[in-house]
Amino acid sequence: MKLEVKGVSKRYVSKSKDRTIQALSDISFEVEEGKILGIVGESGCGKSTLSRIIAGLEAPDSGEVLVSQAPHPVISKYVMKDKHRSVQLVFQDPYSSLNPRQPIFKAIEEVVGIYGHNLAADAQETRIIDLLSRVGISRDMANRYPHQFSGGQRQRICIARSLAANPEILLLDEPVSALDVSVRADIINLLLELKNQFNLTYIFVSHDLEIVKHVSDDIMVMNAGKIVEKGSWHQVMESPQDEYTKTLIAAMPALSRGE
Amino acid sequence: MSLLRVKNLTIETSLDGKTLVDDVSFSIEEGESVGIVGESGSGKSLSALSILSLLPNGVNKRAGTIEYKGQEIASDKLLDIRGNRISMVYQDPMTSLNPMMKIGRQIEEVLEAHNLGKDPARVLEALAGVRIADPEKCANSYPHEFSGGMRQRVMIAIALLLQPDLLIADEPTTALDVTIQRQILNLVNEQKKQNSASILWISHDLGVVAEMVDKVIVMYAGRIVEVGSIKEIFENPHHPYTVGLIGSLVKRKHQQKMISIPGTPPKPWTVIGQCGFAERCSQVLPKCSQEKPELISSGAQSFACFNPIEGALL
Amino acid sequence: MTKLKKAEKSWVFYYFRSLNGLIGFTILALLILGSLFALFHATPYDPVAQDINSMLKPPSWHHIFGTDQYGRDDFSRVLDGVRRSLAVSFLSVSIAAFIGLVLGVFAGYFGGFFDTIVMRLSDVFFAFPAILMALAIVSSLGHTWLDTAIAIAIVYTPIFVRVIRGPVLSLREMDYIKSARVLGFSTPRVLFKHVLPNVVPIFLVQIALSLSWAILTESGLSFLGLGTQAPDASLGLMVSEAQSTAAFAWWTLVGPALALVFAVVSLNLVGDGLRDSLDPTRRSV
Repeated sequence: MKLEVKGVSKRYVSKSKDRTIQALSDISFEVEEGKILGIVGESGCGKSTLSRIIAGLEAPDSGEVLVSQAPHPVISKYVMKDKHRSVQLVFQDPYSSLNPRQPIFKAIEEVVGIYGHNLAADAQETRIIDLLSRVGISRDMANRYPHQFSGGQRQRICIARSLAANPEILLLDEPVSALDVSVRADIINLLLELKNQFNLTYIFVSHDLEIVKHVSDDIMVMNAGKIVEKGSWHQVMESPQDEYTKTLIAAMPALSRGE
Repeated sequence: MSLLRVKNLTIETSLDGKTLVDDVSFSIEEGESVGIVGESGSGKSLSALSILSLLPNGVNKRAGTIEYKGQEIASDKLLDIRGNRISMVYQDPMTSLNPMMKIGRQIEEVLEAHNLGKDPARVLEALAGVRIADPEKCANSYPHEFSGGMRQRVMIAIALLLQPDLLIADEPTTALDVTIQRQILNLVNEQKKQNSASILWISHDLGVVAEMVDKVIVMYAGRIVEVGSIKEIFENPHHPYTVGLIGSLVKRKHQQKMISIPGTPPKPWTVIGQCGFAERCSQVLPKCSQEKPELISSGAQSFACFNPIEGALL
Repeated sequence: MTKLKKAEKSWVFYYFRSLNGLIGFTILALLILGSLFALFHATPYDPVAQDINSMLKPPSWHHIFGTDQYGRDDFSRVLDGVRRSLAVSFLSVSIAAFIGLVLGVFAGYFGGFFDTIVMRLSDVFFAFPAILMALAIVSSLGHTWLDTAIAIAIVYTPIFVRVIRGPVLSLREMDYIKSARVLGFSTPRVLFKHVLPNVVPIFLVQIALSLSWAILTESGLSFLGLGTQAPDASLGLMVSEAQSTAAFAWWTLVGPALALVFAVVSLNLVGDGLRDSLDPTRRSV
């Protein structure tokens, strides 16, 4: 399953209509099946807008997003039936991405119910327990509500919920930035493990070059709504061509640059 | 004589007496830069805030003394010391300046509060000192006209205005972009050399702390678990928590499993009388969940662990 | 294999663990029981029957709330008044809450043109003081209790719209609503399973508050002579009539006033109890 983004642009008009912000201008790139693309940039570079567009939460002004050559539909506010979607999104803040009034078992059951192709009740339950155990949440915790979990555990639950939708492509939007430092490595390890288990393609969006460098096959650097550099992780980190990329790398703490 | 000495500091919630910081002691020598590293809830910020009696509502100091140049800081002396001998820079530059007041006026106010009168020249000098290109224009602007990085510069200018002996920086770059963080780190390092001030740098980011300080205090679940020089801590950490943190930073191979710490940090008050890290520790002994390990020195380094890791990490 | 879905304790369990909820429920249950007696004409005396031999009698075993200037039994009248007040308030708030919830959720979630229209309309209603608005509607509709209920419902609907729309507006931007959409959930599923349950606490508190306000509004209208008409009893009308007698016969005021206070307080307590028991994060484990 291949993701292609072709000539995507997005412009926002301020509320008072006197200013326009070009959030994205003519963004094009591809992610090959089974690869991890890291998208890195600072606040305001357009990476969040881009991930919303890839997920289908927002429509681009021009350009298109293709999944296996087929246009990836934008999510309408008026859908009368549940629909399967092949790109799933894991959000930055695990505290706000689970419905506080739903035990986590129910949250995953809801997704399995839609994507599970009419599984029998028993098989459905087995699948839910399997998904939870893959992310390290034991079955006796399944009846708890989100507020009874730590940030790291909630992010695991969010990942399990995304996996319940059998995604081909998982879009990870700053998946560890809101977590405690000692928990981050654990979640990154989990994500890398799951990618192999489920044959996933990842798009890993982050401001943190250290982590992007660790996980990505390819890295794409964004600045002011444009792609300034794109290449294999090794190429971008070891011999950056663009001035902004160089500044970004120089700004990393010396330790993480491997010094 | 140490510049600042914190002894047996214990902080609890006012309402139900839950321990948040448990028996923390450390000292800062004149001209020394010390970092406190820990994650949210480790007690690092509370420990720093209690130095100037700035603990938030609902939290109070149960025990402990704080000595400045060998004398306990009395509450009536606090106003002389605060902002003058010891100053502070906070995490969020967007809310630490008064949005209704011009920047120059806010700096002037600090001078007035310490009875130094109006001194426009000194205001401009302070702004120029933190590498603000057009100090005059800046002094005549309101905070909202500036980015987070510029505002943090202004906060640093204010903190250094009265040439303090100690600058406490509480996660001053966490809210900033990495390239701006770099500029601020360079600026503080530069100012440190010029002013020969001591620095207490609080952060969750070991990488940042490593560049800013000589000595690191590692906190976990309300307690100090390890203290040592940057070099020692990075090359030869002993506490399994420190080993896990540093290991995930320095020993990583592309897309391979990183050294990680399973589980989540506990609330400090749930691990009284035992090692706070016992539940997540790979080196755990039966003793660890029955007895609290004290901080013991081994050479220049000290750590609180019954079963420390020996042998160099790098 | 053990079943995962263990029977979860229902919100009823948590409701009765809360002291507020328990007290509120008890008082409200007593008031409703009393009004049921009134409904089935099982009050000790006929609430409108006059008795010139026992005018303005203080409370006694025969007339536990005393009698008014026409010799009518105040206790029976209070029961009948509670019945009328509760009926008007429940009916009016049900109408207002239902319409307000639907309009508020739709306006907040979908935004756009519909939202603009709903909000401007509610602005128009807000421009008039509530009691004046109710007065105007009652005078044009008529004086039956149904007319009063409709008038109060019209006045309260925009309040519900506003109270619901605000939270929906911010819920719409929450990550869990966005992730529900990315997961391909249909709009009805998002609205009913993810948006609605999260406005329930605010909605319930608003209902409890509005019920008590509605009782007061009905009393106000009756007091001004526009709600319940003499000789029928309503709490507001009784307070109004007691104006002239309270100075030398305190019981004529105390009976209906106490009933009014108990009704308002119990509804507020019930609201608190419901809010706490329906919110999993507020349940103490």
